[in-house]
Amino acid sequence: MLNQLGIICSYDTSPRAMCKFGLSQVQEMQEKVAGGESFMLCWDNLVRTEKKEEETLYNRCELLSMTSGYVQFLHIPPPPLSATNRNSPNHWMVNAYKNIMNAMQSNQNRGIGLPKCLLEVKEPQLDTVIPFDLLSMDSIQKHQPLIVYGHTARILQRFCSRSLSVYQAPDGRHPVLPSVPDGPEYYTIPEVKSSLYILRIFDVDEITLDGTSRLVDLMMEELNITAEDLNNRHVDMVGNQLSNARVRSLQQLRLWDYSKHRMAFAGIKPGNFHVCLAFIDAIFRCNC
Amino acid sequence: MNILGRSGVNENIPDFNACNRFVLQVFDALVLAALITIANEWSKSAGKGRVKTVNQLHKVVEQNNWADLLEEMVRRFFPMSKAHFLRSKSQAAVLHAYLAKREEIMAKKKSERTTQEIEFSTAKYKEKYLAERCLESRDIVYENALIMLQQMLVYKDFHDAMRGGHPGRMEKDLEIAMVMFAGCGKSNYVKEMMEQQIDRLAVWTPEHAYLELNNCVVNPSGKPRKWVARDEFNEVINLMASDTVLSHS
Repeated sequence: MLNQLGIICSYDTSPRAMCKFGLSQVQEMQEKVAGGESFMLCWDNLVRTEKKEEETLYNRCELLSMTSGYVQFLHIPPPPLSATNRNSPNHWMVNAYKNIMNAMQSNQNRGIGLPKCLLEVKEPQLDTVIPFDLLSMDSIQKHQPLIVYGHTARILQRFCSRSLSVYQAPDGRHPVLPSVPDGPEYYTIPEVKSSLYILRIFDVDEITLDGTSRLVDLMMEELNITAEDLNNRHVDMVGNQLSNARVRSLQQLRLWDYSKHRMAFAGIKPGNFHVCLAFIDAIFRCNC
Repeated sequence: MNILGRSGVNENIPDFNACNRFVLQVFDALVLAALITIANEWSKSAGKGRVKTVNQLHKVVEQNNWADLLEEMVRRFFPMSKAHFLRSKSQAAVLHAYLAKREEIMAKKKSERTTQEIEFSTAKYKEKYLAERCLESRDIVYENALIMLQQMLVYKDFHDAMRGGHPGRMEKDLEIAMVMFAGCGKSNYVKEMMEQQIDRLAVWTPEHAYLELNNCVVNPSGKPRKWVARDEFNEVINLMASDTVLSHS
């Protein structure tokens, strides 16, 4: 690429520069972690064939199973101005933001990530959750009609944009085109570049419980922290459905392990991209 | 195999981008078809010619209140429980007809009943009869189109909200998606969604909810409408690693 730009350098220079840049990034990431910035870990398996063959069930012995991942330092913007209004549905954000900032600044809570007591209810009242809470009436009665009008109007606008402005009601007004909902109850993240640090490719297969446990150990090594540092702390972990199931199993099943290996610090979150994939699969299953 | 000129949709390992564009294109086509259907009815009732194409739809939109056109289309094609309602209605009508006929047979003396009539009143025959007649009386294509429109709408909104960085909308869509996954037999994802819902309702503090709202998608470039899911960014890393690092090793 440098040649195409008219820059001449020796073959070793660019890998050396990249290596130096990579090391400085690792150092920066480790400093941020040690400085108490809250972060999230995400990983996924990376399967390659030794030869240039298509991956099939029959040449699995030639597959190289590795794992890639990255660290995201959490973006904590101040709540929108509208949230300061007491009647706003987002007013709860003001206190939540204050508490997070206080926890990050207080010496008492210093450590890796954020304290678990700030992010999780001590004794959750799980029996208070009823099936109707899982699909709120708000989603069906308010949200669904709004998105129907918003998206169908967008389609009409795309295909008949010139014709829409022609029609006038008897009072001389043009009908108003409904928009996709974006009111205060639909929170929008302020535009910002996410702070992402790509980890090295780990030569570990995460498809077993031991593999996942080993992977988390290696990630901690990369972040220059130990399992003890994460006692009573909280770190989000994002993966596909199977990765998440394995982390849950590690939390629940490995009771014989030392508590530090039970991954009590892990807050498991589903990856929305895999939810999208499942969604498409569901649509195909139903209709094809 | 190409579907609508796209490869990668019907493969063993489907291509996400191809499938995504395919689903969104089919949704657009279905909505346009629904609009054209209603525009055609309006045109007919006004004594004008048939509306079959998008160009003809333009004329209807120019001459009529298109807000009413949208309203009518939404009312007819997007009520969430309409497919279920139609199914139940036809089932009830068939059951009613069966019971009336059975009552007629039972009113006869046993000795007067024919072999077919005796068979008709058995429980085994009842199930078969109801299933067959229900299929005959239902408009399966219309019902499927209704279900497909519902599913694609929620997917479209979820995808759009993800790209635009609107976690509020994503939350609402995931609630509806959970029920759809349950209906499609994707039990693992239902469990996953339920875990998150219960965490959100009972385990997370407001501070946790605030962090999740702001970090459920990432923006590697910082540009508007370039938000990607957290695991999607990991797939990009995998792609880069496969192309560069591992090919040299």
